[in-house]
Amino acid sequence: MTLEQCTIQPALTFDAIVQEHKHRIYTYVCRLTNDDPEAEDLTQEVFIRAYQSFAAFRREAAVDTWLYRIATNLVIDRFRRRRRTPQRLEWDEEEDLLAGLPANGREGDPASCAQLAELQSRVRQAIATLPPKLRAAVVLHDMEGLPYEDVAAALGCPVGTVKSRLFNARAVLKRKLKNYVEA
Amino acid sequence: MGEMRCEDVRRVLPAHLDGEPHGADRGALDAHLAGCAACEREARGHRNLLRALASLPSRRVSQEFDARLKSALATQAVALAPRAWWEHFRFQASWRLLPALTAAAGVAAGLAAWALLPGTSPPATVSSGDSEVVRQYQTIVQMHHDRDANPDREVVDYSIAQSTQGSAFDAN
Repeated sequence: MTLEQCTIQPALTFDAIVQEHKHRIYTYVCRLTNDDPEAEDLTQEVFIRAYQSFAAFRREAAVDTWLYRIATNLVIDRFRRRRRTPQRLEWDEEEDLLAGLPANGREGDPASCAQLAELQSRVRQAIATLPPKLRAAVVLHDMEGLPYEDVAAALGCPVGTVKSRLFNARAVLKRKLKNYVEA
Repeated sequence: MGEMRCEDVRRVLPAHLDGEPHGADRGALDAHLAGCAACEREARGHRNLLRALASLPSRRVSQEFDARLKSALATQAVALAPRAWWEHFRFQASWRLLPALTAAAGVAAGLAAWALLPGTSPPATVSSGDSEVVRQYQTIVQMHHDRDANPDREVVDYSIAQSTQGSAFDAN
C-alpha cells in the first residue's frame, strides 16, 4: 500500500488528512501532556497508527474524531506505561495575581501580555492536575470545541460519562483558578 | 411556562452554557438567571472558566514534522507490503522454528553417525532365548493350523522335539 493508494474518497488522500489535522492534533497532544517535549513525536505516532488502520476506516466517524480517539488512547497508554501520574503543581491560591485580569490581552500592551502569560501558565498547571480521562474530556469539549456526542465518540464512552467527567474536571479547575473564575 | 427553581437551573446550567440540549425551557432559564444573583454568579464563573481555558493558544508542528512523518510512513509502507512466500518462511524460520530446526539437525546428525561408524549394529530388541521361544510358538501354531485344515493327515514335526531340548523352556 502506497501513500497515493490511501484514499477514502478520490480527492481525500492520507497526506491531505495529515495536512488538515496535524496542527490540531498536535495542539491536543500538547494540552493532554502539558507540553511534553515528546508531544511532536507522539503526534507523529498518532498519524502512523492512523495510517496503519486507514484501510479499515469507513468514515463512520468524522476524521478528526477518529484522530482524537487515536491520540487519546496513545497518550493514556503512555501515562500507564510510564506509571507517571499527572504533575500536581501547587501554588498559593490566596494570591490575587489573577483578579481583575482582562479576558484577552491587548496586543502591544506589555502589562496585559504579561497578565495573559500568567493566566495561561496557571491554566496549564491546573489542567495538568487533572487525571488523564478528565483532562481529555475538558480539553476536547472546552478547548477544542467538540460537542458532547463527538467527545463521547473520541473517548469511547457514553455521553453521560462525558457530562460527568466535565462536571468533575470543571469543579477542580474552578477551585484551582478561583481567583480568576470568581472575578 | 412556570418559573424555574434554583436547583433545576443548576442541573441544566452547564449544558445550557455549553449550547447543548438540556430539555428545559431556555426562556424560563434566562429569566431566572436575570433575577437570581446566586445562579447568575454560578453562570458567570462557568463563563470565566471557559474563557480562561480558551486563552491557551493553538500549537503548530515544526517544519521538520512533514519530512519525518513521510520517512516513517515510507517505512510503514514497506512493512505493510505483501511479501513472497519464501520471505514469510524465512522470517518465521529465523525465529519461531529455530528450536525445532536445531533439534531436527541433532537427530539427523546422530542417525548419520550411527549408520556410518564401523561395527555398529542395531540394538537387539529381544534376546536369543526369547527368539527361540517365538519361533517354536509360531511352529506350533502352524502345525495346528495344518491339522485343522487336513484332519485326516497326521502331522509329525520332529524339529520341535529336537529344538526344545536345552531351550528356554528348560532354563528354569
